[in-house]
Amino acid sequence: MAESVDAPDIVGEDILWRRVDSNMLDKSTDGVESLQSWAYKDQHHELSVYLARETTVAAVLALGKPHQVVVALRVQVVRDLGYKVVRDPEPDNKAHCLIYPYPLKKEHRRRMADASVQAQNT
Amino acid sequence: MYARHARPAFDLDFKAKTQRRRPAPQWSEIRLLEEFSPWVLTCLRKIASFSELGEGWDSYGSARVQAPAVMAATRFISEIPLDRVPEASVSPVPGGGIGFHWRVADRDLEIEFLPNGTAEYLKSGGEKSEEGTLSNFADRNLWRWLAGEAT
Repeated sequence: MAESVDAPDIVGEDILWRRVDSNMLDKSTDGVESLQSWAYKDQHHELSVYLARETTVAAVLALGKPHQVVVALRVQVVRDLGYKVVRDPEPDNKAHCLIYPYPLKKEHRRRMADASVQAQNT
Repeated sequence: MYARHARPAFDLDFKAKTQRRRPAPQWSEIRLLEEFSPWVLTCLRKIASFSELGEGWDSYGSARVQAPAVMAATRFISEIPLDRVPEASVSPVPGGGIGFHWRVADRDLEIEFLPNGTAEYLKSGGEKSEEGTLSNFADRNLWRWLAGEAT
């Protein structure tokens, strides 16, 4: 990643997708979803996301492991917490971005999780 | 030959001693775990299955779930007051840990076992949140908070 610039072409209403283990997403009997905050945790402190309008759920899942799902988060939620959305295109998916800097605060990861929903297949 | 009049005195004394020494009742009702808290068995099975995940299980290069985290999470389940604790969601945590999550009304409680087996918690409700380390799994304060009985 050359520069940590908050991408000017990505607006607050844009949606970010993140691939997570399906155990991290719980659905109650009345259909209410709750996501565990470690969905936004990364061992290497690089929080990968994908810009939804430039890819598909199937493409994001294809780069992952079995038993994963994709969750969606509005860009504005990330920016309101003080983070940038930095473009970081990968050879196999140009929609790849990073949430920067890495969110070290559990509370911030909890807020991102609270604002997330499961992405629908497109 | 015993003197007849001495016997009652001995009996009375004996009874008094046994009454003093008698411990608290040792009988208690036995209930099967799957009837009392069926989610616990599911949880334990999941925890065991997490130790089979390989390197990079999260697709972002995470280490596999570490043995100290598995052991600590299992011990946690065996020590928490099951009469107070609602059903948990459990999942592997990137980096090699294990996490438990509860949501009751607007309160979220997350307990994360780090790869080395230490436990950290985050409780959040509304605009307030608090985090710390957890050492006493039987402590009922967290569960009272989760149930909305304490602040």
